[in-house]
Amino acid sequence: MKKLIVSGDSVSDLEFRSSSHPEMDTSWRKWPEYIAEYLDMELVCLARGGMGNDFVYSTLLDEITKTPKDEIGLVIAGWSQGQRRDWQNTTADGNHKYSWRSLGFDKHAPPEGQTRKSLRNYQSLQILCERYDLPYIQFQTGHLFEDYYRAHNQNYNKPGKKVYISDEYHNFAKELDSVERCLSIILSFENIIDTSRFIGWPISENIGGFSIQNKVLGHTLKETLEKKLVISEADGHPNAEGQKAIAEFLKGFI
Amino acid sequence: MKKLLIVCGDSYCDTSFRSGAHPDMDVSWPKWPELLAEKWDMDIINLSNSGSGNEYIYSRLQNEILSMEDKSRIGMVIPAWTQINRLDYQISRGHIAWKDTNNRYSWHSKRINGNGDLQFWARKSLRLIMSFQILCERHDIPYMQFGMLHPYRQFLEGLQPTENEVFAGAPEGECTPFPFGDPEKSNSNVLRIYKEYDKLIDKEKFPGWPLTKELGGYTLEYKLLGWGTTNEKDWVISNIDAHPNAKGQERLMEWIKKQVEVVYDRLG
Repeated sequence: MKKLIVSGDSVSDLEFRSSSHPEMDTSWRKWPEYIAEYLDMELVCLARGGMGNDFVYSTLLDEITKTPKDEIGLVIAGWSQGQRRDWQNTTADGNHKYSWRSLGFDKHAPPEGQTRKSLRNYQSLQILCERYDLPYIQFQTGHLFEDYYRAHNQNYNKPGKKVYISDEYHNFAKELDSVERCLSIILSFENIIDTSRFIGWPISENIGGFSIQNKVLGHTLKETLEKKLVISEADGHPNAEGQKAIAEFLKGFI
Repeated sequence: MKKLLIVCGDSYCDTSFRSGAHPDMDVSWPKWPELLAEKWDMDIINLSNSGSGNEYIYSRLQNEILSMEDKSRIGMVIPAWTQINRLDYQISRGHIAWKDTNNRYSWHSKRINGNGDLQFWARKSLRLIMSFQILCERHDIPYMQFGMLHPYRQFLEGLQPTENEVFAGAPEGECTPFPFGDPEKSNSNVLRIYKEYDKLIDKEKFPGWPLTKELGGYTLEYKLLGWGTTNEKDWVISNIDAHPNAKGQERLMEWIKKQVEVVYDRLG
């Protein structure tokens, strides 16, 4: 039986737990399990909640390089948010189960730098799979960089307002300019990325792409709740039906 | 049209290197990448930048190679890998205000990655080395890899103060004792990680692999210039600056040329 190797963030994590509803049993099947069953492959799911794109690329690189290539049936990367920073602590530091850690915000680089870094990871995965002639697909799970601005706005105590809204401390023009720069950075990678293997390219709806979460689960909180594909108003992760819907959507491309 | 020699590394390869220990010294002697390109009659793209780490080296080479439409123009690509403790990141604004300073580039580096430990830094750098090898194999691009500085020995022994720390009285926060417990235990763990990659690296194209003396490898700083400033002073700037002087750069070029020509014909 060939292997389906998957990495990604919480949406792809088989052991996902809801931090908004810690008591909830969230052990429903996740999309990688449906896809493995559909393809009759053995699942190697490396995805983990909260992780960023260095984690996604690194875990796939490690797994692919150590696995005999004729055993690999398909590689899927469900890319995460660009602003996350990942690292490993291999020395003993308590009861942490895994060596990988992540920060929600990489303080070192602005979104433009983070966007470039993520796109280089996408390229590197493509090169890796092409080098070994491995079937692969990539997609953006949630927003690549837009959530950075959303959270930035929320930091200024404007939780009701959407992206692009600013206040006196938060220069609207600069921010909008920065968003435009991120979008143009994505487009600058278009002639290098194999867009036929990248579901939703160019990633952002502002330039004609999409993320899987937006495309399948809905664009707004209202829409996702109406579709009943997410856990709750407080937790936008896919519920059991949402995971099934993502799997069905991906099957269409596979 | 001439072929291209593409090089990326740290201060040992940087055309615009300046000596932090001797800021008034004219250090504009030719560096080994330019000397090598001249020997091979190639055009040079030297992306090296002082103080940069391995993520910078891989990322710049990746961008350069993948954005080049006609890859048959590439005659040779050489990364000269550096210390694993460095952290690289890219900014995209502020250039105009910083145009007269060393912050004028979009890439910035810190001497010490504030996240993870020595073993993670080793894994991170080894993944970059692997990714570079895979990139060149994928596009059938001639390449050779070298370790310029020892990946972590200086960190184990305690990094020397930076120019900023010495001359500007900046806090010496980064120049701290080894923060991860027993240095020798960390060393043996890192050596184990390097051994894990032994079967993945194309050793013919990586003279000096696995970079550490304990495993039978070496870096160019050690092999050609002497360890630090204590040995072969002919090749380095001074007792307080271990960077290669003009003769040292020539020596690096001659040695790298010889190693590459063992693997690749018709370069010279």
